[in-house]
Amino acid sequence: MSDLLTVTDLSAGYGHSTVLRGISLLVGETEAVGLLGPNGHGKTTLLRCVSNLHRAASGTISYAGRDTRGDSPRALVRRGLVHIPQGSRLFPHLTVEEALRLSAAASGHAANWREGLEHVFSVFPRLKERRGQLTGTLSGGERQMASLGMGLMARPTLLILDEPTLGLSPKVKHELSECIMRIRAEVASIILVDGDMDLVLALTDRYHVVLHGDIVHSGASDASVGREEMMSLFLGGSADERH
Amino acid sequence: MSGISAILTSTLVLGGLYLLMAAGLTLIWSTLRVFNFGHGALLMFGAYLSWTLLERAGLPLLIALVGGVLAMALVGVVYELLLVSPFIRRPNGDMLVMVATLAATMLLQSGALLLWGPEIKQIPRLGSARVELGGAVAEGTQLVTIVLAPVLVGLLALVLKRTGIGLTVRALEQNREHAQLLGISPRRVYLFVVIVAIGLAAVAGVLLGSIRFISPGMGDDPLLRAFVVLAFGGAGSLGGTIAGAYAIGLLEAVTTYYFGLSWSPVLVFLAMIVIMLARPEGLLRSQVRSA
Repeated sequence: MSDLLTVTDLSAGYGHSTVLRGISLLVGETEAVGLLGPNGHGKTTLLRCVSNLHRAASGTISYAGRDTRGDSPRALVRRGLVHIPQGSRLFPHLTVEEALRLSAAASGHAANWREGLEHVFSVFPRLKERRGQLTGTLSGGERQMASLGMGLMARPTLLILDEPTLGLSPKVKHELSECIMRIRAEVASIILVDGDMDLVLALTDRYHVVLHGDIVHSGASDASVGREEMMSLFLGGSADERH
Repeated sequence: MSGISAILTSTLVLGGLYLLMAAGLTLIWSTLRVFNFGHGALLMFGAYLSWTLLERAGLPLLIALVGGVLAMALVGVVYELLLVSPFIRRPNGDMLVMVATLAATMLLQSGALLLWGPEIKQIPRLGSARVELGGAVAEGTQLVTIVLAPVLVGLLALVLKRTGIGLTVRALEQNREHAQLLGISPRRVYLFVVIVAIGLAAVAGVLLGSIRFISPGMGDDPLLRAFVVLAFGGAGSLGGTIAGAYAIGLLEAVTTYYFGLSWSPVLVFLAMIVIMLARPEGLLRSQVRSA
């Protein structure tokens, strides 16, 4: 399997604080990769660097065989790299349908946006009911659905999901997880960051644990992953110190 | 009775001029998060360019004026290229752009003085239409202003509401980061916004250059009034700007009528200070739109 995304030795930060310390990551062409780890350790910064919202201090990122340095986020979206950001307020004064249409147009799929819309409505029937409503008035779960729907409108090859279930009630979370499962089946590759470890392990092929700006532990997302092991990692131990 | 209709005419003319200025400033503010100090100088430059096309190049009135406005739209491209895009993405980029627009004001004003000299010029009256209402008379350019300003800004509102580029502009002003992740290029939106805003300022320049005179400093007053309009209507909402422009026009017309020309600006700014103390989010806004 060839790699769709290759991140090599990436360092990045904000001002004088360093967040990423030489992190490397591979995502295969039909692979779902999960990132786990406590908040504030660089997962979101890594994703922001991948979609070129944030400029890395050093290291390289290549997507579909090309170095992405100097590409605008727009250029990457048009090549199928779609990033759904964490906790977005969306566009409070746009309706759901306007937001979805906007995503299709901005990613170069204006011509057949209606087909995309029907598809998104089939994945998220709730959005169809809310199509005329301003996104600023949606509930948390509906807002996440709209955010995911906007991602789908851009017809992603690599879909980056940053905390899609953050702050949702268990019931809504469950509903959304099922939608993400459906999306998983139709998008080639996924990077998923979520606080819900079980969701990440259920949806991905491999996972990495990110701590202090680097990957400290990796594995296959199967049933053998021990929760207690993982929690001790989260709580400060490094992979080597465990035994 | 004639007092009231004189005030009304004056309100519609002044309000229209301020509207043309403030609509562009609002558009720039809501997308770039920058107050364009150069807006008054751009109004002035538009007036001079149109005057030159009319008096020096000898073009017919309408062609000269439309040509002047279109030429200013081109100036908008240069303005964005030189003053906005080199600075806006840097840390504190909005501050740098504001200072750059302040510098542009001085350059444009001194440039105008060098190019066109100190003697005052005027664009002839636009049209000979004349409407009399309750003893007050609106004619020529005043009448054009009363009609044209709301029509142009209404058109702008329609473009923002109904077209693809309008949707893009609104998305960028509501959530810049997510808009970029969708594939919206801020650069294109900035270019569009600056061109439209400068075009509207140039229209105001032509109208003002015909109602009053053309001079290098002619844009200063309208810029200050437009600033008050933004404070009044809440920067960033076109609806608030429209209401604010006519409210300030009315305030200025009433105070000029009852207290005289020299007291009017004082009272207008006093009103602004009171508004900013009492309702910093703008008098006409029900809630603050988060950034």
